[in-house]
Amino acid sequence: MRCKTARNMISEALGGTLGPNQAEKLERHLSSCAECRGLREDFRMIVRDAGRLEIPAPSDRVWQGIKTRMDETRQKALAKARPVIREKRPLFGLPLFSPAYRFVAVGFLAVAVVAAGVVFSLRGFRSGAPTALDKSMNTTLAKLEEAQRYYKLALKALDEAIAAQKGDLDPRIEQAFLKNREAVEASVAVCEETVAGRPSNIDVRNLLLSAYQEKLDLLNDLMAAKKTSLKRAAGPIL
Amino acid sequence: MINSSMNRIAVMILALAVFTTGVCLGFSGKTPRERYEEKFDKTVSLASDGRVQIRNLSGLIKVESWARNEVKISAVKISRAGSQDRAKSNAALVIISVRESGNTLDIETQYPQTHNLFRRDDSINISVDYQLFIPEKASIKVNSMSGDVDVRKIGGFADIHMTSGDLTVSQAGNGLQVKVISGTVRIDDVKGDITLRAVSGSVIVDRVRGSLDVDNTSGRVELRGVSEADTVRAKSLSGGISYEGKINPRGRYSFDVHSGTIEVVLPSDSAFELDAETFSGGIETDFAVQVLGKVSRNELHGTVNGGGASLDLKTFSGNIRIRKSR
Repeated sequence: MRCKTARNMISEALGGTLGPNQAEKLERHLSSCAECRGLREDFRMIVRDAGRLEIPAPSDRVWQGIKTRMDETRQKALAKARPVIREKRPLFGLPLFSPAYRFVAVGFLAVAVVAAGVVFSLRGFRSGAPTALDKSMNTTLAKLEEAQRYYKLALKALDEAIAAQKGDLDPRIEQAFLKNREAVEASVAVCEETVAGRPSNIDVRNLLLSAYQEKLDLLNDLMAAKKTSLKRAAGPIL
Repeated sequence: MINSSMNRIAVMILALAVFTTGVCLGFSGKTPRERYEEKFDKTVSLASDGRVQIRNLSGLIKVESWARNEVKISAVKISRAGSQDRAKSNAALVIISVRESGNTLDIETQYPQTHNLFRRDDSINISVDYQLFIPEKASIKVNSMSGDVDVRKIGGFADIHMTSGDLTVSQAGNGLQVKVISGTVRIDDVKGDITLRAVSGSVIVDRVRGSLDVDNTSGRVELRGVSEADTVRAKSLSGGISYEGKINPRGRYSFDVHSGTIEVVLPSDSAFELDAETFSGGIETDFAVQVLGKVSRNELHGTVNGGGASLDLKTFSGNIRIRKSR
């Protein structure tokens, strides 16, 4: 047995908790190790002297502290077992959530809603809204939106046709087309953004249609140019 | 127990309030019952070749010429409101302004600008219908937001801008410029060149002696009885183009449709050079074409009756038909 193991077993032996086999092994080690024997003697003296000491009684303050902690623990346990009904704090001194005040608040709200409804309905009745002009403008805006849709469909169809088209352009011409296309598409984007911000403005919508038309014309020109290029590549007709 | 019944009553009161408000708002959408009309008449001197300008927000505009060097303005303010008194007081707020400046007469319907919580600008339901008689050679400029425009028997140039409404022009002696966003355009018996831009609605042009330049975004273009034209150009994004009548042997005719059919009906002795192209559609012709170049389903180039006028027909998606008139 090693000394380290033996030292750990010494305190157990003095406490009477060491098993018989372990005790025998320990005795065998102690019989041949003076150091460990010396350690056992020291432990024995400490235990003997400690047994002679008087145990002081805890002070009143200690008992009070123990009692307070016990009360707190009991209260927490009680709180978990049953829900706590919190009392609502009043607002500006008024009992805000009392039934009577709730009732009054709802009454005021109802009166306010009806009053607002009467005011706005009188405005509407007085004006006879929607007027013929309003209806006409709504129809015009709807027609403009329809025109926008047609343009978008047309542009999409042209784009697809150009993509599928055979024929290569002179690189300089192609470059010029690309530049023009970028400029036109930037113009379309600005117009679309403006329309999104001011959807009821007819002038702005007209500008957008003009921008679409420019793009359409450009794509048509591109298609025609590619076609011409393809014919030239095919050679003259004999 | 007492709390929950009070809660129920409170919810019922609130629901009743919302219901009442909804009913009020629903009734507010009804057209007001009372209508008030107020007439306006004024006659102003103007040179025979003077210029008349009219701007109107809502209402009909009719223009006709007469033999006097005067402009007669007859207008009717039509006011609608919940009561007669209200309709009458609203009518008084709309002013018909007539201003002379040199050789120009300016007529304008002026609406009030108010910012009262209980009365907004558009709370006034008023339209003004005009009937103008102008000197025979006077030119007319019309600017209308909403309402039909009818221009007849005028000798001067007509410049017409409309946002919404139908346009009729008949017997105009010195050409037209037209911009219409939404509405049908009918032009009949016009001498002089016509430039027309439309966004939505059909365009029907009949008996024009002059060149034509027509652009329509979504709607058909019908051209009939066009003569003495150096150029006839028509374009439609969505909606077909039809042309019926003679062609000027030195004229240039160009019809371009993105989505729709082109139909051209010509006298059988018409002579022209044909360039017809369609991306996805077919080409039919009653005329014998002396073909130049390649013949394909989508293209036809050649001359008819020895050539003469230039006929350029193009569609992206649609057919091209060239017929002989009966």
